[in-house]
Amino acid sequence: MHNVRRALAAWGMAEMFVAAGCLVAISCLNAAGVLMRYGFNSSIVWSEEISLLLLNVMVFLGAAVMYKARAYVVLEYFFRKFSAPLQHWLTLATWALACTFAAITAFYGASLYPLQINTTSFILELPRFYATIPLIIGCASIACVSAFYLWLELRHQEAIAILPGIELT
Amino acid sequence: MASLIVFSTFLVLFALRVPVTTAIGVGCVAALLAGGGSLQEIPRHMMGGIESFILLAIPFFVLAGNLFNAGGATARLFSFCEVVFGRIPGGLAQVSVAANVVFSGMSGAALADLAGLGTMTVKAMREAGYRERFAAAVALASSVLGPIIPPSIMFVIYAASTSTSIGRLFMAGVGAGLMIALILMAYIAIVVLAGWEPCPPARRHTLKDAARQTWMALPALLAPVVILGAMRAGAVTATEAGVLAVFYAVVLGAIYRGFTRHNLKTALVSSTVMSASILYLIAISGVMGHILTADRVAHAAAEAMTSITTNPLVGMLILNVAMLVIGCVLETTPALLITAPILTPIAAAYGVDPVHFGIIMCLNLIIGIVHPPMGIGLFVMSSVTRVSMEEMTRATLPFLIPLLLSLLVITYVPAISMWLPDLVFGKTK
Repeated sequence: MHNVRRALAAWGMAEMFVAAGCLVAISCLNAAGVLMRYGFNSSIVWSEEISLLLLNVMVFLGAAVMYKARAYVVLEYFFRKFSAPLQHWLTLATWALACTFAAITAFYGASLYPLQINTTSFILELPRFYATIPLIIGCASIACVSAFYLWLELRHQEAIAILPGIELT
Repeated sequence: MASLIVFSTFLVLFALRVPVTTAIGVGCVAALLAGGGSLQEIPRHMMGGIESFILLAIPFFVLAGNLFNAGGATARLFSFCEVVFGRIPGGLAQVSVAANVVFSGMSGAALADLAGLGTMTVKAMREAGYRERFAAAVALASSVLGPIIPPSIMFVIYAASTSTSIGRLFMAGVGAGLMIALILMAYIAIVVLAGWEPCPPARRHTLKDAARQTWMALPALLAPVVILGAMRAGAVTATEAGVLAVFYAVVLGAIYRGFTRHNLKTALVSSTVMSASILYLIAISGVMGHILTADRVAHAAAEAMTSITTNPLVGMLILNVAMLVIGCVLETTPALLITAPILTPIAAAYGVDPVHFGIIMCLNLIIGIVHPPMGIGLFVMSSVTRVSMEEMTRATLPFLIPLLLSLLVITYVPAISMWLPDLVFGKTK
């Protein structure tokens, strides 16, 4: 189990690195766009398409990191009032639902391949499926981490965040 | 029927501590299965939900807020506001509100204000002899200004989900934010002058010191002018204004020599995860939006409301109460994403401008962060100070008086919000 946690943590760090890199890249690309417009009376015509593609990568990999850091929004108010056994069963159900939903999204995202592979973007003519790939990877990652938390809960072990220390400021 | 399934599933699951994104997602799956829809709609509408250039502004403004904090701009602003506002009744409490007004012009989220400026304000007030729980309550109440004074992440989300002009929303936030700040400052002055709260005398500054603090804060003070000015002049779009804010924050950090490798990394990681969590929620809400649109929920809700009352004053009062209740139990972003497409047509049926309603809606929902049970601001403030949640709640509740008063004034005097957008962009027909 320790190895699974380490593998998920390493995967999470890689996702974090790529997602943060995308944020930096989007910032630089858009800044370059403004600079080109005013400095050289020109424009980077493909910047919007690439920015949106990078945004997809940042969002879905970042969401996977969010689950690994357990930095999502939940309402604790009612949960705290329940008995310990009920809390255990609710936590099991939560992770089962999170895993199922993420797996459904990843699966049906992949099933869009035949529809999207021949549809292209306007400027760079990139297949639209490229934009769906981050969703598939991110949701598959969320499904894996939720399954891991579910497994820990089944064994009555505390599901400590795989990537602790990430705080939302 | 499908929308009823979405809402009921979401509410039940969310109340049982299921993450908000999963709760909405499972609700959508249930509704699609019940209605015989294809589950392929889920990834399709998730992608569609974030396929908007304007949403790029969200990560930029989140990153800018964190970089302003990391680079030391926040500390300079606080010192400057202490020089200017420190001598009026309420001293450092007034400084907290004023500093929030300026900092809100640079960052777009209440929690960024709380984590940076709020922590600093409470520390300064505690050292000056204020009661810590009062200091924390002032910082928390003032952080409401963050999403109202532009740039604002909430406005970007509202604009994207209701197709409202982001430029007009940003301008409308200026008047509304200043009104809230004035009412908060007046309330603090009354509390202090009535002797309900001890207020130690403020530190006197020499003219030389005041000039030095102003000079040091000048680049930071120019940030809102640069960001909003560039938008007003039509030089940049809202998204590009976000990029401008990021690069201005980097330049300020370099000037103030506030960046370290550690705080830069923390700012970047935190901004990435926070932006991703907001945008992932927007993506999933895209599926819910599709189900609600197919069900014509907004239309039915508008008809139902206008059948209850045709009086706009009463109608807006009911909407305000409804939004305050929603803000009590839901975090601001999901609350905004779920309710904006439904409530905006209702407000329009009462003749309320969507820009004005955007301000009212964001204020209603953001008030939710200062009181239980969903008061995220309470949790943040309680964790960064030594004040317990119970004490924090007791100290913050009186601040609902000026905040609710501001809400009423802003709701029933549209000119407060609308004078600036009308002046800058002209009146809408």
